[in-house]
Amino acid sequence: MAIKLRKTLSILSVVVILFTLISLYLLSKASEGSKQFENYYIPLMIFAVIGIGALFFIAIIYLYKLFVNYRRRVPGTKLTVSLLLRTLLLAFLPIIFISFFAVKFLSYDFQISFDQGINEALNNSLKLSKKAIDIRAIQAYNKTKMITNLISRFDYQELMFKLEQIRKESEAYELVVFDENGFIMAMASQDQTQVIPNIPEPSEIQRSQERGSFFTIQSINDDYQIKIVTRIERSASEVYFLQAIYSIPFSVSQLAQQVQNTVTERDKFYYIKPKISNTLTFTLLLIICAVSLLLLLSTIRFANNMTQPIRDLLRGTIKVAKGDFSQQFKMGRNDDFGTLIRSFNSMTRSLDETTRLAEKNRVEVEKERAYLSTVINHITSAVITLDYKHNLLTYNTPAEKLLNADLSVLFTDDERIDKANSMNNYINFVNALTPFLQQGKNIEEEIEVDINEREKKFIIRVTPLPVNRDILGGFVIIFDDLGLYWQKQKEAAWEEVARRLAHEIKNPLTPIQLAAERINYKLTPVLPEKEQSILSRSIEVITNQVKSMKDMVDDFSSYAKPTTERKSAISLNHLLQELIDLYKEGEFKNIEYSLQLNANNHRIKGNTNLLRQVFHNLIKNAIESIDNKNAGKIEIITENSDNNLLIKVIDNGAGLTSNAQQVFEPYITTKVKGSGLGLAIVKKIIIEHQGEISIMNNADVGACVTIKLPSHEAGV
Amino acid sequence: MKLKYLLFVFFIVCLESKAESTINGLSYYQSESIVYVNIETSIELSETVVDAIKNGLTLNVGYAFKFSEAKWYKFVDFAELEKNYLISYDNISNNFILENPVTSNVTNYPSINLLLHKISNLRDFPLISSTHLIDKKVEGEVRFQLNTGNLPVYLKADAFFSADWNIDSDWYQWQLN
Repeated sequence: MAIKLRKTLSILSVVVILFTLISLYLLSKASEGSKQFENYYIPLMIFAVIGIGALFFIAIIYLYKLFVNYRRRVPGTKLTVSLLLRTLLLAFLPIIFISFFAVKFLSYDFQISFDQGINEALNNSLKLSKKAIDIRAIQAYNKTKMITNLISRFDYQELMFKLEQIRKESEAYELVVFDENGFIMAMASQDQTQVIPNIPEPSEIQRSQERGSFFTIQSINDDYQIKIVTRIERSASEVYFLQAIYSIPFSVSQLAQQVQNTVTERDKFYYIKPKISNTLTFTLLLIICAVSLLLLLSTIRFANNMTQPIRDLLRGTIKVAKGDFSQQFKMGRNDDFGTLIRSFNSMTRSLDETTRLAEKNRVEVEKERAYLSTVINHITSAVITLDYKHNLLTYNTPAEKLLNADLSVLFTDDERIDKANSMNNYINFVNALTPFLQQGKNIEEEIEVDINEREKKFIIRVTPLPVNRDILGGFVIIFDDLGLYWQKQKEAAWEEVARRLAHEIKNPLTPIQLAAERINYKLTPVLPEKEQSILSRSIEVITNQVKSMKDMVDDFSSYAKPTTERKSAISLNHLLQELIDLYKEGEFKNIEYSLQLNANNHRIKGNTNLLRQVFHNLIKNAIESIDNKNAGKIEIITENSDNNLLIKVIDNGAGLTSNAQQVFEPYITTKVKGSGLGLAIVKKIIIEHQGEISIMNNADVGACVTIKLPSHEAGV
Repeated sequence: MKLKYLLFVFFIVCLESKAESTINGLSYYQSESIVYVNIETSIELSETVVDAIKNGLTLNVGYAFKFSEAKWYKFVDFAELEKNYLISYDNISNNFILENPVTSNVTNYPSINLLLHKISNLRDFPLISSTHLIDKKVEGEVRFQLNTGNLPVYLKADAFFSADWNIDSDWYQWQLN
């Protein structure tokens, strides 16, 4: 729409310029003289009217745009309208007055008052001329009557010979005798070269027949003549006509002609004068229209130009309010508006620079905060910071895990969340902390907190933050689960024991076995058969016990040995399938093995050998727990849960008799044989794979071991 | 929409410009290789025009002739001719004066009707040499017209738009065999 309007305005502007130039050219031509004026006047008017029409359309478009902007409350429009109205009021009043008086002046018949005397004199001159010529005509008429009487007695011959003499005596210019059909009977003329006389018009003959005679004054090429036609009664059957033409004396004729010409010019002038007045009025109105339209357009342009900085500034301030400080306006003025624009540009530049600096600082602070958050989150201990009012400022993931609470809830404004209920654990923890916080010094203590309605022990280290100009104080609290802490301590102790035992026991076992075998070898040949049997059974007991101790020592080694094996992406489904296939074909193939691989995402990052050992131990334990091997059933199920892989090993064996979770502790076993380290090693391997393991009895019979390992895609 | 308005204005102008003079009849004859023509016309001048003449305006009226030759595709103009009269008024003699602008021959008439009667009957007017007509199919056209070009500029607009000044006849066509 705007493009179309701009295009229309451009075309109209071109039309105005073109037609104005043509009008100016025609005006210059028309002003060269009256003849040229007559020639160029109408084209000039046509071009001027078209040009003004185009100008009018431009003005209409501008006014329409102004009206639309006014309705839309476009900034600066009110000022534009105000300026426009004031300027037009100031300019149009004089124009209207001048136009009014100009039109009045043009339409006023001012010449009448000046020329009334001359007109009267001219009319009198005309009357006088007419009278003079009429007197002359009457004289000529009387003379012609006498001639008519005279020649009515002449026969044709006499008429032919005497007519010239009569003409000379009567001072007529021409005498012509003709019959009623117009045939010339005789003629005499002052102009001897004239062969054919002035033949009367049929209407004149008819008139003469009707009236007998008449005279008329004729204007012939700037000269006047008196023409008299009379009827000649020669006999009852013979009727002739005499046409006599008399010249009026040159001096009289000349004067009469002058009067006639002047009267004609005057009449012509008075006849045309209203039309000249109309034309001049029309021209004046055109000029007024052109001037008014130009004034209107220039006022709109001027007002627009004046209010442009206001519109720009308003647009700029709106953008600044929205945070866009890149607004810079062109400096094209040296007036007050220019100063205002300069100030605005300076302000936005300063704001832009300040914002950039603030943004840079914010990014740096964010980086530091992110770094700090990363550090805090990677600390295995739980960390929280509180302000001096004991409000939570920061926390890490272990803190959320230990308190079993989503601490982000404290920072949300969502009123739908019941913070009091969901934050019970946190509130209990802070309440337990409060007495220590109030002391305002470094403290390391053990506290008991109700977490999910179970008493849990924590070891806390409270560090008060210094109070200075920027920080109003606060606390850093580092805490750990004391149970877990002791569990870790316990595991570490067991590992140490296992390592020492393995070292101290393994070394003498081989010499013992070798010594027993040497005794058997040396003494068997020399002993009686009865003692040989005793020796052989004793040596077998020693060898078996040494082997059993070696196995136990190997278990100790496995438990105590830190895992250094490399991990890679492996398919657990594939590993389990391989293991089950082995058992199906092995010693306990009479047990029913079921494998349900429901996990789509079955890849984890781990060590194949260690994980194979885990599932061997679990399947072996399951087999050992089943009394009746023929009705035994071991079921292994894999499935995905969030980003984890769950593996369940379910059997229909005897189940657990003691506390389920204790079976993962070293030297806890329900079997007659065994070191009690199998499940402890399993747990150790699983924990080293960032996993979790639990065991529980089934509802009917048997037990279920559940392992949770992070999927490979989860970034582990 | 705009076009409709323009057509409407044009239609109104056309209604206003109805012809006031009519060429009633035309005859021609050949004498000594010259074709002569006799024309009978009905001419009426409005009071406005008569008033203008009486107020000193000289009216230029006359007959306009056109001759066109039949080609295989259309008639092509090959000759034009005008027979003009100047009509004025003399305040001394109170006569209407008819002048032949070519010969400057003038004739006085006491009334405008007598003058119009004179010019409405064009007699024995030498039209064209018969040599131009040999082996050609020629069409002649004539009309009676007012030469507005000689009017004062201030009256031209009136003469163009006002029905009072519409003296022109329609074109009268005839075949010259």
